[in-house]
Amino acid sequence: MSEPILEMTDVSKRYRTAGGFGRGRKGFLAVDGVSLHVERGEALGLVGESGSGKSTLARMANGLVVPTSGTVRTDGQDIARLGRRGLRRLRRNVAMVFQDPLASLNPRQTVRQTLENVFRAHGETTSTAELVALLESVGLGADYLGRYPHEASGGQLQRVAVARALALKPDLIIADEPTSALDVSVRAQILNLLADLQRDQGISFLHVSHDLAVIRLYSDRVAVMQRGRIVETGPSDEIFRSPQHPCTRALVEATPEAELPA
Amino acid sequence: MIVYIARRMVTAVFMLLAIAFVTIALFFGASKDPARAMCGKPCPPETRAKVSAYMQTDQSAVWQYTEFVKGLFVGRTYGEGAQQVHCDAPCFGYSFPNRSDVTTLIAERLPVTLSLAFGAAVLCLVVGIGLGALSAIRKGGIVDRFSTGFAMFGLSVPTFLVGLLVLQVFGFMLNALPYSGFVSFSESPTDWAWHLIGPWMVLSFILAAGYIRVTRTQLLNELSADHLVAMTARGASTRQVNRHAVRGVMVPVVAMFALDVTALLGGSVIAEKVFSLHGLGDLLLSGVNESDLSIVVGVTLFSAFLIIVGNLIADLLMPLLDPRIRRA
Amino acid sequence: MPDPVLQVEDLCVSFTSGGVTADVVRDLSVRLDGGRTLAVVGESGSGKTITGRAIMRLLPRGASARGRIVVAGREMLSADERELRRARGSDVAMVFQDSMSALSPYLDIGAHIAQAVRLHDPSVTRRAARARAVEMLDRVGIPEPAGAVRRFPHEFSGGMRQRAVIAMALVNRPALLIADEPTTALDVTVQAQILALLRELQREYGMAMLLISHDFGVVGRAADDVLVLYAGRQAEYGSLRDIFEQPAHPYTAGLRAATPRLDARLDTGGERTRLRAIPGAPTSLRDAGPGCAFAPRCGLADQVGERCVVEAPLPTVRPTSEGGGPHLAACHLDRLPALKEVAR
Repeated sequence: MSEPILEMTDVSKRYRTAGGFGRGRKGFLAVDGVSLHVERGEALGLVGESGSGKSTLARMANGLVVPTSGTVRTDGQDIARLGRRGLRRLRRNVAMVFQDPLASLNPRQTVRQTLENVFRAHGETTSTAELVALLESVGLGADYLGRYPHEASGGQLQRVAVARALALKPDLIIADEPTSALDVSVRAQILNLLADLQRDQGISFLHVSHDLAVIRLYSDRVAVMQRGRIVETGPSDEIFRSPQHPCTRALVEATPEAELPA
Repeated sequence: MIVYIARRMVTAVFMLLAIAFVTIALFFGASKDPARAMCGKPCPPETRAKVSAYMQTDQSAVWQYTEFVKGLFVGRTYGEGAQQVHCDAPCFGYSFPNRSDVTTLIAERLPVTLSLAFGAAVLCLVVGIGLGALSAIRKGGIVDRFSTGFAMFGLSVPTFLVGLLVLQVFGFMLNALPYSGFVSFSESPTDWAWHLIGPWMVLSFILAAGYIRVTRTQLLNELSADHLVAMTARGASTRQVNRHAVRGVMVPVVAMFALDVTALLGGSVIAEKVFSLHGLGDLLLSGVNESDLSIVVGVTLFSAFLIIVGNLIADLLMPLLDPRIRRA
Repeated sequence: MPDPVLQVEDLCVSFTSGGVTADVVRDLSVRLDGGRTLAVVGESGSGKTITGRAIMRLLPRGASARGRIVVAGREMLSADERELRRARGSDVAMVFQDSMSALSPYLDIGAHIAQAVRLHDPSVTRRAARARAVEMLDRVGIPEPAGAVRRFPHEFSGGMRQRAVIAMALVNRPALLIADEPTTALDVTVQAQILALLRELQREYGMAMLLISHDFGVVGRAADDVLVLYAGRQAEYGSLRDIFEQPAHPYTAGLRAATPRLDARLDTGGERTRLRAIPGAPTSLRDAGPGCAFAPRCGLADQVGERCVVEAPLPTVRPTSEGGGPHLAACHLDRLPALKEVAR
């Protein structure tokens, strides 16, 4: 079996809290000794309540946040030893999709410029045909190339953000609450799109969400985070059928079912 | 709280000492020889050297700095015998061109600058907050459009131009205002105000621009804030809601004002020059022109001190106005 | 039949900007009795929030409402400023989505609640009003209420802050509570607690609740009846059971099918279930044509044909389950086919 696309070993992140001299020296431990891996072609769901450290953990996976201790390996390589160039190569391999598409896209750039910039940042050129193909792979027509972010709806923008993530053919996409800012009827479109990418292109996913129902449907495995630690991991069917840790159980019980109360 | 103030004060002292050093170093780096100005028209080299030694300007910047700091604690004596001058501790230096120690000079000039700052501050607050509030309440109305233009103009036009314009229009053309001079408040309050209206107008015109903009944007933010909608939803009247909105405006205005007013107290070089007022700004300018180290250092330090105090006052006031910045 | 706490008849809300007036809500009628919860469900552009605001006459600048709104016997649209002030916070109160921005950062929690008391009864002393605040905080389950009244909004967690907002809204025992996405900003476990608290207080006070939400999960937990809005119009109205078990509008059915459910994958033998997505994006009334606003996204519009594009459907009566109230849907189709055909 090949090595996992992402492997984090005993990773911690401590933030220093704001305040002048001698204040809060210890800081705040956002992630506390977490080990986690994502296999090739797998979708790993990371769930937890706000403040559980899941976003910090996700950002450490592509070097956006530097861990205080522990190692992060993507594709077998230790991120800490990559250097600036290696880090850039890493970022073509590991792409991110954020929660709020409007905030993550430059309002003064057309979709074409946004996508072209991704190629340019890595010293590559691209053709209109390629860009159109890219947009089509996320279900958007060629007419979106000339549009500005304010000229598209939230769902369309999130498709653009996915297209941007796909541009350099990554092996792993880290999706941080990719659908929680979207309308319910649009949410399913984006989730299905991500699922198709996993199935058809073999892209691995680290899917961060607070919504258990979403994670259940779209992840092969689940890791549950609470106060900076992973308290339970396992295949998603198992976790949700018989949650072991009290935190997981509380989450499962609290998740409202769109069902009539029995 | 007391610990916090004490800590801030200690930091301030070190900051002032650093500023003194930088000023002295810059003075020696850029200035012509101070003795040259003092020794008279025919200036043979030996006289000049003597003058230089007497004024102690022949020494290095580092020496000057240590003497200056020492003078703060034990006072300072220049020259010997009949020509000896003494400056009591805390001594901020002695000005030879003015034949007086710097502390006295600053004390003499302060009333002028104080009067200027006081009036300009009051006027700019009234105009700035007034226009800003009116333009926020009637957004897009005549007042709004007028004051937006006014603010743009005030932010972009240099002080001396406004000063000269005011002088030209009110002083020379309309003959409505005196164009220079200062009458102390104790002498005649009406004459005092009458002579200062011009400079007040100029300074507050420049300053009010910032207050118009801050008040307007802040009040607009506040008026559309959810917590005011929520207050209306609780049954509060528009007047009660507006009164509450003012509070949110006060925070940035106070911060800005604390800095502006102390900067004004440090002297406004240009306004004082244009209206021939002999305040601190004018003193600093003459110090620079006459290569008078003591005055330059003294006035610079005094201004820096005021600005630091202003900052401290603002930092102490803000938590009272906004509980979110209250310290644990 | 007792008088309803809330009666809305033919409500239209329009916005005027740049000399152009456009409706954002059209022909909305609602009836809500004391002790019952009506959920208003919709997405962006549906007009659900603006409807809530219209009931309290809290419309933003440039918006105006026509029709009739009666809250606890008071005509809201014709009421003058004084009458409105008397009604707001006393007959009808509101809980907002974002508890942080709904509270003034400059006042402590006690001052907020005391203000709500004294605005409606100036004879209450400051001290007595703050005592009421402590009582109320205790009632909504905030620990150490005597200390909590002196704390500021930013010193509370999201859940506790929302409890405080509920305390503030309910201190004058309103006949109607409008809760606009009260749990959306909260973690799921806290969400469940807040919903339970709202239900409990509603029962205790016998008040009517208008629960505005986008989430069928929340609706399923708290509502008696459901009103589904699409692009400013009523798409479907019915009892919770009818809406969930026999939806009559393709949008309702599609929305349900697009909502992920925790139990959905239990018996699929490892095969991944996909949600049935509704194509396109929600529109607002302003962008809708003369026909059914949902038609461009509707998988059934082809079956009906031309009519969906040219004629906006009116709500018509649909079959009701036993014991349920009226069930109305605004769709040209009399009967929905099985769920899988609903969305394209």
